[in-house]
Amino acid sequence: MNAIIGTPHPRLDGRAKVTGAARYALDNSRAGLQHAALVLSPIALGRVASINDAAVAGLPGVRLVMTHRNMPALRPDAAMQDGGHAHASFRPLEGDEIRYHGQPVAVVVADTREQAEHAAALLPVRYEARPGAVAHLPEDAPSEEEAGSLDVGDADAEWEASAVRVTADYEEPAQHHNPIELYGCIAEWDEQGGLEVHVPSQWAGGMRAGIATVFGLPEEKTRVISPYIGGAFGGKATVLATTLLTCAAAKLTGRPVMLQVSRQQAFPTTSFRPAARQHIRLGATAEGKLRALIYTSENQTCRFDDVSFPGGEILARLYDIPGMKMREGLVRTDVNAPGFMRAPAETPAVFAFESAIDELAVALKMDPVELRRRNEPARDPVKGLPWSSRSLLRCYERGAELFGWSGRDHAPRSMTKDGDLIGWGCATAVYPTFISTSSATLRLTSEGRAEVRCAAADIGTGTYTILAQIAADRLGLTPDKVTVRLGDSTLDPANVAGGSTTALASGNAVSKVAEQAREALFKALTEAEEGPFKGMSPASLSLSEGTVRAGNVTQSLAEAVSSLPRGKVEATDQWAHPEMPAKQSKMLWRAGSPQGGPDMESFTALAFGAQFVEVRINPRTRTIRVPRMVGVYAGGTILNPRTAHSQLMGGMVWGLSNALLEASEVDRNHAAFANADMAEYHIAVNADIGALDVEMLEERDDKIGPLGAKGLGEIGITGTAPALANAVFHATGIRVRKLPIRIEDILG
Amino acid sequence: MQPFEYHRASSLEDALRQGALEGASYLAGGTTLVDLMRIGVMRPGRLIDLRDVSELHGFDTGGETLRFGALASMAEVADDIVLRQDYPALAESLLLAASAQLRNMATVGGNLLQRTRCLYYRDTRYSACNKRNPGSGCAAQDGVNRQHAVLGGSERCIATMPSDWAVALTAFDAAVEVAGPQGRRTVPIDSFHIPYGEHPEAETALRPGEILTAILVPASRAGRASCYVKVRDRESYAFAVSSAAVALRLEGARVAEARIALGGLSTTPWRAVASETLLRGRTIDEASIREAAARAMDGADPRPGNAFKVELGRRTVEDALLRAMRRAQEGEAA
Repeated sequence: MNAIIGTPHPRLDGRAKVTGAARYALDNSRAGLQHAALVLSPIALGRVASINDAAVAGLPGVRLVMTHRNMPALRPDAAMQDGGHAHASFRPLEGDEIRYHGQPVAVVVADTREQAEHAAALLPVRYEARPGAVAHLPEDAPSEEEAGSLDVGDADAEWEASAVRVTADYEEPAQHHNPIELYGCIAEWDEQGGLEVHVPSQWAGGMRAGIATVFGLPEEKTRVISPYIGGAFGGKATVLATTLLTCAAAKLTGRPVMLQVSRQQAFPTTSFRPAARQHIRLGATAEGKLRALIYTSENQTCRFDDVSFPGGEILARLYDIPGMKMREGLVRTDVNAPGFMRAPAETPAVFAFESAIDELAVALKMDPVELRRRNEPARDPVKGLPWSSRSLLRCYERGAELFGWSGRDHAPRSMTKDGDLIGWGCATAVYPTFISTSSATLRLTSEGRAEVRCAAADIGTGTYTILAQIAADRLGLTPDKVTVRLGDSTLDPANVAGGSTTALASGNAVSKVAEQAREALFKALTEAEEGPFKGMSPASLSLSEGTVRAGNVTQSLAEAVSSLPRGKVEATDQWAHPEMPAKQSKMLWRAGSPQGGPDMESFTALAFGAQFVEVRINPRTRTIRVPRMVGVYAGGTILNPRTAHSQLMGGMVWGLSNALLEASEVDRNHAAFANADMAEYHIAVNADIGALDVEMLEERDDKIGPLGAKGLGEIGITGTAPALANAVFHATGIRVRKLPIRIEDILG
Repeated sequence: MQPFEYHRASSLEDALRQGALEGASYLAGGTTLVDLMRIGVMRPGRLIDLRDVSELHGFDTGGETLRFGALASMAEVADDIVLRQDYPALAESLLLAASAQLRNMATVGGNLLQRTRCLYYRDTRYSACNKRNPGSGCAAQDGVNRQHAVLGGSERCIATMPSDWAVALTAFDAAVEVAGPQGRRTVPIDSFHIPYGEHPEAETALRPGEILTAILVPASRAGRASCYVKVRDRESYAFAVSSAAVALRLEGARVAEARIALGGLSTTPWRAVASETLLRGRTIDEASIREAAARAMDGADPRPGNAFKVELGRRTVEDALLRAMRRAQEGEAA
């Protein structure tokens, strides 16, 4: 790799973001803008008996009270996991039925936000409630639907033959995303019946398709614009009902409408990480060679969509286990649809499994790092395929060294500092390398610049910057000479910014069109009727430092492009992995979400890491603090160590928050997420984060695509909670098998 | 948000006159009231902004009585060097509260009047809240109540009093100075926050139209060996799961004076009288501290969601007493 790819180039969008120049969705105020406010149901199950809209219709500024009686008819759209683009197939205001607490029952539109909210607060709504709503994952709930199953070898026989066994149950709560940028949108219909929507989006193209479907519009008359996103984490991947309601309200008023969903209202109206429970049986020989993993899980979903995130498929790739049996089920509850949240399948599953591995190490009286060393699989245990690359043990070696792991006394309650209990724990981090596809356009301009156009999203991950670096690298430019346009459905199609796929897919697409533009430039210059390169072989030309060169002949890129008849050079293409079936890669052009992996035809690809955590616990009050964390990862080519570091660090910070703080608490009497604001739903604050070391190891991966870059957006969160729980056990001797781990769990 | 009128009072008399009007509410730092207005929980028709009332500002920690004007900011009081040295529990109770931005805005008077953080009180989707809708019931009794009180509650309400500052003031027998249509009066801090009884909607001894003008703290020699321990799930910016303000005065190894108040556990600032009595005259050591701490939660009435707080409360007092003991011993050594 040369000096541009792989360098810690500062974020190109950083200045715009810190100066306020970056315009987020709701910054796009405009003449005639009206404001919407939601009215949410205080019951979880039943129907709307009556709404007295006349009571507020005359209040100052009120323009519209939209209820199920005057809501425009919508066409159906499936939830994303069922091939559509919607957050949920069930949509409020299509009828009088209420299926979850906090479901919108009316939208009030007024001239100001304050007027709309005031009228919404006063709107008289009568409800007929039905009893029996359940919003939590019930104890001993049988699975109603299978979410995943996997068998390797004879797990039962291996379990029977195991000398050392661990049986344990784990549980994780529902959690909500809480991005800094709230949810909301601005919708405006034009006189030709076209619709423009500003909405924070991980997938402008997919949201356009979903909105166009619902309103029966041609896609070219629908535009979704989202150049900047203030935190998404999976929650802004699909078309939320609140977006559709805003579009519908704007259609009725004939004016642009803005909806800002408040923090409280975001809890019931957006997606969330569903609650889950796992039952694990893990067997090994007395020497610590794993023999059996029997894994069952129950995962919360809603009544109307089977949203499932089976993690067994990933767990099966961690260690060499000859007998594995995974059965994962869904439990339907009366909640809004759950959805993607950073490493949706992996975060709960890895917490449970990596806790169980630690329990096994304790049972074996073995260093937990050594236990992993003894079970490193040479090939993918599920498919028997070779790894595209795998550096888990190197991550453990380096992480142990950075952390000082050799100084650990493995006995629980053995370490103290200034009277506090100290615990050290470790766990594996893992995220599959999903291989998607993307298109892009690159234009060389007469100013000697390159313009990249791609409908991918930069959800804070650094996409603007890495795509500029890749184009600059291929074109012999500096990144500041590259303009990258993202987050607009009129741009070249890209997949959803999910599954940690964007860097590899859109990166390769930009690389490809940059090379094509360069070759097209060389061809045009050599075939030109005049000019310094006339008649030369295109292969003899090169491009570096903004200059076209052939031997001693040079011309600036700006002059070279200006000399061409069209004054520009443009290339458009799609990159798809050669092992992605053509039928799948073509879906990109139909707003599909094509994605391969972790197992492809000839290899299996995952990114791995090793995480180490120190906890410090007050011996009396049992307050848990985390003085330091170490994470060492291998992710193939690191395109930009600065932005990659930030992703991994952010993942670990959230991992701590996941381990110690975050839970959407259910009020069972109301079947409601009760702690619906940031005062009650705690996330980690700066003061919670002590020393945090992130290191990325060199790893070469030739199989996953030309850039060889594994996605790193999600892996950072996956190992933190188990490493922390394992550290809590080490400090206290108390094994906590649920999240978040709180004072009361270790009060003793 | 409900529409409201806004008046910036020019003097205390002007404020009291305006405050007597229908639907009036006084505005100080605004860090509670404005929040609650935005989410529709409080709906005053008229706000009387007190910021220009000069006599409510400023504070003096020099005399025999420490006096804090109601509008002194939490940040400026917490930064006071005398308070930090001679009454660390008072300074710490302010510093451990909220965030730096909020402490700049919030006032020490308003702090005592902040409303509970009970999530049922703060969310108008729940109809049952005796504080918000008197007589409507209490959704917290068998709801999500980990943060709720185990001391001083009733079947009508178990909302915790959220102020850390009030807890520390309680340990030091502070008083609150009040001005109203009928003149001025002084209310001891331990009767300022009133037990819920039949009417959880009434939280303080303030009568309609009255303004809290100042907080008075009698100087105490126990102040130097005092501390405020705040137990919370995260390191900063969180209300207490439990807290304790403790002050000790030793004579040799014996306890001459012990002051212990609890927070996060109770519906009003809670004086742990039994623990104080037990310590007085005893030799201070880990054994006597543990014995005293064991009595701190006498009378606790927990719910399943917060039963752990009975033991946690004792541990919090133990932790705070150990710290105060170390401060006392260090003070003597110095």
